Amino acid sequence: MDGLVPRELLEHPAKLKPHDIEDGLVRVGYLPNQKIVTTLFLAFQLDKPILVEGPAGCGKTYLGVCTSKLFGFPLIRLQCYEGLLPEQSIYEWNYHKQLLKIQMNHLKDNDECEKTIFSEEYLLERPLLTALKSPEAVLLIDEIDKADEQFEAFLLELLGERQITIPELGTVRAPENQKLITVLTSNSSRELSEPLKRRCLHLYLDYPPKELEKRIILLNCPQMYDELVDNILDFVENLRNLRLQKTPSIAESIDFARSLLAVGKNDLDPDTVNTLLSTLLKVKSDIDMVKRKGIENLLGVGN
Amino acid sequence: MIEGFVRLLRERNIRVGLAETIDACKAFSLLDIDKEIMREGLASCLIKEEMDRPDFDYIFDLYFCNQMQESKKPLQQTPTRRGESELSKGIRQEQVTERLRQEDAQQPPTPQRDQQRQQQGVLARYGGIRGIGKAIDENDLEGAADQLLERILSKTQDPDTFAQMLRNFIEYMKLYSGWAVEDTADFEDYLGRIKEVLNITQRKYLELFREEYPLEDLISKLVKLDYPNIEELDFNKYAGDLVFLVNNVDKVEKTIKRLAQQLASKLSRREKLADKGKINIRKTIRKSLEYGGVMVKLEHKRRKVQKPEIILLCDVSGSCEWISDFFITLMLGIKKAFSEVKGYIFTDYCWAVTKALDKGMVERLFQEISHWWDFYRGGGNSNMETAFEDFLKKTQSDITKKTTVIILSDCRDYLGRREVYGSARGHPRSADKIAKLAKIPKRLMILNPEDPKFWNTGDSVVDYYVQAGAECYPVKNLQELANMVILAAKKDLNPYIYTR
Repeated sequence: MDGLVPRELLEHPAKLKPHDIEDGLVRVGYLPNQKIVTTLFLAFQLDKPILVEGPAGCGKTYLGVCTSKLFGFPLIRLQCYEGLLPEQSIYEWNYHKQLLKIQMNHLKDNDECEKTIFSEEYLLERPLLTALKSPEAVLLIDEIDKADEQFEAFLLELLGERQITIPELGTVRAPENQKLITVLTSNSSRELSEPLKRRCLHLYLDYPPKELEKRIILLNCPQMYDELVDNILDFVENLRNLRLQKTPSIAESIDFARSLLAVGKNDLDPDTVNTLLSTLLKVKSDIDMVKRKGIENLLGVGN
Repeated sequence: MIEGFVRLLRERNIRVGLAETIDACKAFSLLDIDKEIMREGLASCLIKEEMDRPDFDYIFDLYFCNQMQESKKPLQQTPTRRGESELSKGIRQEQVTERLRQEDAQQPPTPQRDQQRQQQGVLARYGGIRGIGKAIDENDLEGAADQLLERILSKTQDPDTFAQMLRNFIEYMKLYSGWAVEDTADFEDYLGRIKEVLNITQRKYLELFREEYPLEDLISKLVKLDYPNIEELDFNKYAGDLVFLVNNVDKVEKTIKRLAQQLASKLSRREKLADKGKINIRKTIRKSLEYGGVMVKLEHKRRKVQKPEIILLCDVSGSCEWISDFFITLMLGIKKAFSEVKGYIFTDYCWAVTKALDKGMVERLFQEISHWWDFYRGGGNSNMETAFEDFLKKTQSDITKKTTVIILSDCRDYLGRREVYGSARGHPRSADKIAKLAKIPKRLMILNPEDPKFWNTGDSVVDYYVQAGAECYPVKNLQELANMVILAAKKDLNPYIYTR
């Protein structure tokens, strides 16, 4: 897979400049700010993982996906959740196959059998090990804050030393000159451990300024009128100023804009907004609150 | 260069380790000397919490920018501010190359060079720059940078003028290179070298000013700032400063969460050990079917995670007025750090403030307190006997064996009755209520803001409460809160089991 950053620059990282990354990200459909460009540039140059934090829907995961497109590296994604075990994320022994082998070798040399069943042939690779072995990849560890603290400890060896120790097999090291860009995302639902933070470059993404959000919407809905996008953003900003349980993020603004196009509307009238409100607000009490305040007022068409 | 910056960050209690410093040094050499790029690059290496960002930005400006404005010579222009940096308009090598290529395409070579020669007259006021060009030709970039710095400093020490001169320099070198290099590939290489010279020059310039303005001066400047260190903060100074409190609830929350996490990991280790031996036979047999009846994996029973239930009771009487801001910030912080938290305030009766806590609204909480002061006759004097009785009544169904009750009070029972009526000494009746209260919950803790040497003096009844079964800790700022948590953790039970 070829990315947007020329191969030559990847081979000679010293030649890669921040604006190559900026241009590439724009071309893959991600409008970055200076912070994102600089951090991604440093992550590539210093060979360090990036820890992206910020509210939901501000483009953390999408940054990982776009980084993969940008460099043309395969994307390996690990979705974290409570109770995620190393067996599901790093490696697991193929018990069935091992058991069959043991039964086949029932009467033969036991030592030989033991050596065989703890070899790579009997190892099931999970995302982290796959990423470690790849010569080039973007590893997206999504929502790391949802995983247990113990899981973070397993990650340290991979993030810091680029190796994973499998007790029965030894240490698996990354190939030389490996190009692995690791992006960890977190919603800050819990505090991450200091050692993990220390191994990463930190990037905090917030909701973008209005102008950038407008460009993002126009990038996703190129056929939309400028004026309509302005109206949408004014409305969304009014919503964000209310004390809602879940404020609409960029992802929701884009959904709203796309829905407007899908229903063939070129302006914002209260009835349409009322119908499409569920694309912006995801909590019933929020929807009720907005209806109580009056959609007309929030659209600025009321008295 | 970076070490000094890191030292300043540490002065502001931003925790920066050696590894981060090394990363920052590498980043410093990799990034263009553009103020905003440098700011973002160093921030991503050095700070790991977004709440440290304002401190970082402030120190960055102080160290790399404003600092230079205060050098020996007076300023001629307005101070450089974030986003308006002259340096940030720096030149990209490729842009210059591209522009030059376009110019080449538009104009035939000879007239262009004639024009360049004419322009050279204008730029000649930076005379002697040919020597720099020669050094660049010979690839002696350090030498070129030294010469350039010397030449520019002989004319100015003002950073903005310096930046302008650097820009003029590249314009000049662009023209100069038009004569010196014929081949396009070499030309790009040449422009690369010019840019490197600019970077080296700017670094040297920054270092020069660093020497002229010692770090200690900066540190003293930092301390003089009205910008306190939250962990050792004397909250008394900021009493009633709502903006300050609102801004700091997050920091208090972070500290509490960090403390809670230390305890949680300790506890989870203990739980893991306790888990061993409890085998879920039914699940193990079912699992073994996958492997033809061989019990490859033992399945353990899962322990139910107990979430802490905390009830806070905060003293807002006159004697606690000096510390009530800290108490309220603490209440909000605890509420944000844990899910199951209920809050009450008291003087001679108690009043539920859980709703205001739920919304995390400092203003609302203060409103409730002032309303409470107007409404009740306590007049700011505490009567702990009636207050605790009221508390017991109001929380009867809420306090269980899982609950931890935390009382934030100085234990000065001003109006409370004693055994000997009218006497300031003797067993206080409120201690009986404490004894009653201590029987039900998992733990009853009192956080006392007073220095322990004042405990049990005057109307303070700490000892009676401790004898009645409460644990009392001195806590008047976050530093002491941290110490208290370490002390509290030594007991078998602890309230901070899991963060939300």
